[in-house]
Amino acid sequence: MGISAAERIGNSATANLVPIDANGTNRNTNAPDAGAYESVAFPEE
Amino acid sequence: MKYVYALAIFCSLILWSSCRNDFEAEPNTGNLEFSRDTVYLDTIFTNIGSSTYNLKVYNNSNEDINIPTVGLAKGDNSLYRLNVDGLAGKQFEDIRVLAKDSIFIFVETTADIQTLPGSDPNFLYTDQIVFDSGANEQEVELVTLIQDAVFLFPERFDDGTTETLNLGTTEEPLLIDGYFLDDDELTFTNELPYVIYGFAAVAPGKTLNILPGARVHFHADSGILVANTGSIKANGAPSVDAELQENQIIFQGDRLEPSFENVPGQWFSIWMTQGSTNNEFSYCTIKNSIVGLLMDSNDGDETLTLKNVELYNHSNNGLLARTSNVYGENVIINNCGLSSLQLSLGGNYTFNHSTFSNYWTNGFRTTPTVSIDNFLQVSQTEVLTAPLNANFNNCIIYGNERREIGLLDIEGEEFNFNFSNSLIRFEDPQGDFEGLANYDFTNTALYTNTDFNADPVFQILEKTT
Repeated sequence: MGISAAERIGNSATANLVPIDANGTNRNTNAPDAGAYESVAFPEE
Repeated sequence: MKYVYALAIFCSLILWSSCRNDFEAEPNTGNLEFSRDTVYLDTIFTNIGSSTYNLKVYNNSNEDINIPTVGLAKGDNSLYRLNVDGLAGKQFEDIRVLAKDSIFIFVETTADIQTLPGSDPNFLYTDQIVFDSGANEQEVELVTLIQDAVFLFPERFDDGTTETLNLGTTEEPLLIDGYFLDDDELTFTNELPYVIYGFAAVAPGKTLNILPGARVHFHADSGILVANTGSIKANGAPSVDAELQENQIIFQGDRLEPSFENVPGQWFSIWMTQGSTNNEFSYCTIKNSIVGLLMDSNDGDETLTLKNVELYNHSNNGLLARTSNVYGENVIINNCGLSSLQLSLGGNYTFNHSTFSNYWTNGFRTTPTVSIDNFLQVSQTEVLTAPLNANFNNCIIYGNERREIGLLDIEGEEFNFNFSNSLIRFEDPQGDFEGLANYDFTNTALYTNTDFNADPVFQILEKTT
């Protein structure tokens, strides 16, 4: 799996409004990912 | 004379060779084989019939066999019903299975949990199909989980008609099977699942509160309807157990078999009609309907707030909003037969940190993942319009089609939108959209720090609901 193009493209001000993602994970509000989930690195299959 | 003898011998040969042993069968020797040793009839709601499950019984011997008895161990008191080789009942005699052949047995059940021992809302009901007796006896287990539930359904009157709601006018009524929830029905808890038949309606001025952990199931074509000035507040809470989702509120169909786990179109919608207001959903999963959430119009206030809401597998739309006022954060809408998110006839919308991903594979999808417009053609000569303001911040809009946003506006009406810090799929290799202002991706007033056509690398994780 490659790196998601949604990684680190989010805006910090918006992330501060929604600091926890849909998985209950804290967002990196300095460089948030776009989308409802912060990206997760899955092990190679 | 010799001709007479020859004829007699010939006739004897014919008669001998014509003797059939089809009507003779060997007694069963207890060597039947079965397609499975246990038939799990999955979970059923109390008093609601199960699906029909089948069992195949094989006679792998070279002889036709006769099974003297086939039946349910609990006899006529069993809550299971059988159909053995075309015959319905609970006990059967002299069932024949031809050599190297098989027969089908179909199994169904209906159970009233109130008649079963104990007070647990779930009851594991078991029985056996018993083949033959004594040394030749063989059994196949039957297992069903029976679940108690709160059933909400339209009243049936003595004349055979059922309770209806009028969605039209007195002069031009539009009747649907439905009923207003009584005051003592306006709180759904997590104690028992709810099963809704027809439309359970929230009356004007009333609020339906759905508490964390509640499970709401809908029969075919059923839904929840929120009337003018009514509200629905379905506020769950974060769950500790990701599989159990103990605090998530889940709306889904009433078919509990695993094969219906991800089947779209099993029920209609949660329909917040014109004038309904301050509707809230948080920590909710809404799946397998025709339209997950249908938000109609707005009264100036925020009509719908969505926080941590997941909308999955809807045959039309996940959220269809018309002239509404919607705020959403951590909203996930996935596969839908039409647009996952459709914002129609204007309205005010803000979505922060939301994912709209439509990888619909149940047929051809001709609409993008997100569709936005500010008009509605109601007849050949009449077009309704309303101003639109839509903002998508830190969002993903992606799918298995090349163009996953659709922006349609009508001249003379406001059409303001902005996508910022988002990832969008929109491929236009033939340049069909060149020169269209809404699709000028270099216009930073419309598309601010937004990336296009780069893979978000979604990973599918199975979630048990």
